[in-house]
Amino acid sequence: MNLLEDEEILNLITNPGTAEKGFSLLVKKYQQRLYQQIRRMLFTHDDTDEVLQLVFIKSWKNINSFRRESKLYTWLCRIAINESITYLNNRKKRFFVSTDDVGNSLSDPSGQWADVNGDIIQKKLVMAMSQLPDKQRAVFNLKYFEEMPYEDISRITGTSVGALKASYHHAVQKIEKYINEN
Amino acid sequence: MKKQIKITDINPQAKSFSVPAGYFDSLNEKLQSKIQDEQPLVNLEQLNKSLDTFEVPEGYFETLGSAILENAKKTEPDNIVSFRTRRIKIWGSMVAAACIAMIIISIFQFSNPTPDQPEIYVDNSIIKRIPDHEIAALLQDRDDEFELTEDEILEVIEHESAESETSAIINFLEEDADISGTYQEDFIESI
Repeated sequence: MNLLEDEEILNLITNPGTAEKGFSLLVKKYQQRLYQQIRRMLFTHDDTDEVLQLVFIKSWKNINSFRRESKLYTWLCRIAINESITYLNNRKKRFFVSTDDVGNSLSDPSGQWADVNGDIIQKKLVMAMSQLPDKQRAVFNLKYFEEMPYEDISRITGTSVGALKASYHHAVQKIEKYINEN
Repeated sequence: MKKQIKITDINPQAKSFSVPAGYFDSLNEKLQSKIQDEQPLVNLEQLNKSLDTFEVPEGYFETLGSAILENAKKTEPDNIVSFRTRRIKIWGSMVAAACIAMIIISIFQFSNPTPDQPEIYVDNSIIKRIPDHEIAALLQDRDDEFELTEDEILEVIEHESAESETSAIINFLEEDADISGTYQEDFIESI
């Protein structure tokens, strides 16, 4: 299927007669990429499914507030990251779990990472990511996997470019150390 | 004369040192092991990033779009509350809470007023002079504890300061028990 340009999709969505068609096209264009990004934050399919749907629903409701100054995907990423972090914070409050405990509980190699593609190094990479603080993990995901420019990440996270560079650098060091020591 | 030994006299093929038995047999294995230990550390930039990190359940994306659209129609619109509105709400709540607290305090104070208690001077010396058994008898016999008998009144009065008014009262009480209305009026007028 040929994926339409963002501008065409937005025009379809903002037109009441073609809004649903435009929205379906938006979902089809970005669902896989957003899925992987959210899952790298939440790690389980069920949690990812919940947040992914929430992200698209929010985008549907607030599409008219999208000012088209940034790319559509950058805007969707911002919603996805915010919703993922909110979801993680709420889960921690619900189960009275600290950040460290969540990271440790997720790094159980007994089967938690069965859905991770690739070799053992890829699996270790994901396990190492689960040890990172939520915001730092988000920065790492956007920079490493999405190869997003720091300026776009800054718009998404509301953090300065300098702070992002430092955060990403530390994240890489932590991950490489984890992979090489385990 | 001793013969000078020249370098050319030495057999270069001769081994200078003896070598432990089997040394060269295991050398290759040792070298391979060390080379593997000294492999460069994993560099994230070398990993295959084009690979999707996670596997996705089969058919998931085929139904996702329609499911989202259904949910989007069901859910209510977001209440977008600006930061300024939120601040006003917070301040309003605080003011309302303060007003309610003041009202409650006021109601509590008005419902339990501290009565103006007059200063009551009680001369305990009189009470101490009355024997205990008489007080007890008084309390047992009298329904109205404020009503005293003549003797009790006399006793109390005797211990008061001797003033003309009290003398008049004593004289009045010592007179004949036939107390007519006239005497009463005279007594009252005399005081």
